[in-house]
Amino acid sequence: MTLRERIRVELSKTRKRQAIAGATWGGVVAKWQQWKRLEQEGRLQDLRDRARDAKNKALGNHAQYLSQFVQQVQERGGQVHFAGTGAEAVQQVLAIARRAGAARVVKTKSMATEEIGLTHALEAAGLEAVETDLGEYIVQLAGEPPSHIVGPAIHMDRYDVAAVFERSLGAPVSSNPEELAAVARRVLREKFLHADMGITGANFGVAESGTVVLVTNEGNADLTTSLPRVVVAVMGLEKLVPTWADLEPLLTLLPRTSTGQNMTVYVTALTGPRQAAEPDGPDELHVVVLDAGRSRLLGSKYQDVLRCMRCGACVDTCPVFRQVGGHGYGTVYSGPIGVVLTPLLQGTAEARELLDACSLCGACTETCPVQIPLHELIRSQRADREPGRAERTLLRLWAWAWSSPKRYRFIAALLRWVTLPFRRNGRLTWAPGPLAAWYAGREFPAPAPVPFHKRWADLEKEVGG
Amino acid sequence: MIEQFQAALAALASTAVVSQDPVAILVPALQERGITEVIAWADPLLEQLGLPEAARRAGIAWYTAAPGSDPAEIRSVAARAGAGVTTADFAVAETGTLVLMSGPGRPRTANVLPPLHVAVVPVDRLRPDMAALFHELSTVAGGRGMPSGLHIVTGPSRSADIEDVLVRKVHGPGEVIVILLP
Repeated sequence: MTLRERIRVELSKTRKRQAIAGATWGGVVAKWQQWKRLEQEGRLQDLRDRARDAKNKALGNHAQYLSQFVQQVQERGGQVHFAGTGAEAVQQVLAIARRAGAARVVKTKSMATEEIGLTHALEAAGLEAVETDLGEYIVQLAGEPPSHIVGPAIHMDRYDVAAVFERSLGAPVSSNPEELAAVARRVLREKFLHADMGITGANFGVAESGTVVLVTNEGNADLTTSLPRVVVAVMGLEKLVPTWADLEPLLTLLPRTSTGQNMTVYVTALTGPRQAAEPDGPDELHVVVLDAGRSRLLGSKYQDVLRCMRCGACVDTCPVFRQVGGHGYGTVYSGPIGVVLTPLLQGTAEARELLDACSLCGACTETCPVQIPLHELIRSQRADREPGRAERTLLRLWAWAWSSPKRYRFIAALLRWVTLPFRRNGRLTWAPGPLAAWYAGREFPAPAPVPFHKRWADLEKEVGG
Repeated sequence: MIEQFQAALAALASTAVVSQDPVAILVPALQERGITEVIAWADPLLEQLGLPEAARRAGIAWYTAAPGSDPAEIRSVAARAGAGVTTADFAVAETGTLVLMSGPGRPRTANVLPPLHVAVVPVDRLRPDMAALFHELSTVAGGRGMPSGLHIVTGPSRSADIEDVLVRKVHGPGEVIVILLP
């Protein structure tokens, strides 16, 4: 399906659209309140600047911080693997599982593992792989891809979730969210206690101590990294920060812009496997450092996008996302960050199609805690794109028509006349044919009865004589 | 700072109490909730305060995860215990946050598996805000002292993944009680 076809399908799903509209609006309000509070306390810009600078420091000197990170992980007994592509990362994780004789895997929610299709690959290799984030567990049971980078199941309402649970458990389930969560707790508790391997993403990697930092609200990262004997963290190589001090503005902003909380409930920081005499924690800790198109952005005009910490603020605020939802994009990353990141990572014409799913309103750029100029990066990628022959001819014609005052005036006069039947109270409110779709939700000011240059010329005559 | 910490935790449906006598807080709290088994860190502080004996006298099975204990036993006790009792290495007033460092006698599951987490924290471990906490953590990292598991915990386990409705006790505890020692 093309982008347009996907969007048409998604726009026809009324209940799903209501669920998405409700959840994203709730997100926008919660974040806005936090934003205002920080602004009133006079801390907002300072935090945003320090967060941006912390990531820029790591990205600007990436090779050095990466080697420091690797050295620290190894010094603490952890193992580091480099994956150039998603497929390589998948192979590495499968090899770790094979060597460890792992059969049962518990997973935390991670966009990097989503990006490389890790869960499906584990299942295809005959392992049991269970998503443990509540939203991610729901979409896994439903057999659907997540629809939002923070809230994977925001496109479903409670009745959808109850139906999914009933189908998988074979028993009736209440549609009360609290009871649904209790069902998931009971089922997943058993999975945690019997898992041989835990797989996580990484929200940050601290170079100075070789620490993988995970952020959750449910506590599933704590259990995923405490109970199984082998833990693998798949970390995008852009996740590095130099020091713990650099982490402070990032961890202060992330929960506020992600869910509107003052602080995430659980921040889980792993430095190597369990040490001697520790009662729990993994015997083996592996970090798979994932490139998959990231390193070629270092030093490019698109480096800024690597600051992203996947908070989802841009997604909730995006007027396109709020209408079509994540499934309309049809890609792992959706919303503004998905539009920017997907073509850059994948580099395919199909991915570049996403660049059209944007009105360049700039709301995303305003809400980004680490100040990524998202809409600028979309515009810049549109400019990089080779225009088609029809588009090129049209633009040439446009340029020719509007580059001479005589032709401009002729067209303007023509438009005043042509638009006459479409005016309502000085606005153009509808149009026939291919323009009808544009006017379906918008209107345009009608051309002035007397054009400006005519009024100017008349005024000059009057004043100057 | 103490009032701020209490207010922050209260906003998260949890409590922080200042008390010189934690026994008087902990034992009734466990009894009220019908808790009959507890897993606890092997921290000398908890012993000095007499918590294990007091709990046992009240008929509550108190399991201390002493260094050298069988890890499988610790895990199964943690999985069925009604409460996990720990200390905390730092606490943050602004957000109601606790910082727990793993180590011998300090299982990582003690504060996550049971439905109630109780932490006993001397007030001098309280820091005003995240900036102060991360300053401390920088020092720890600089001294190569980062524990293999560092857990920064702010209130009870929660999720809003279904219809954006707030639900507690998803995988971790539904409630946190902090006893601050003056």
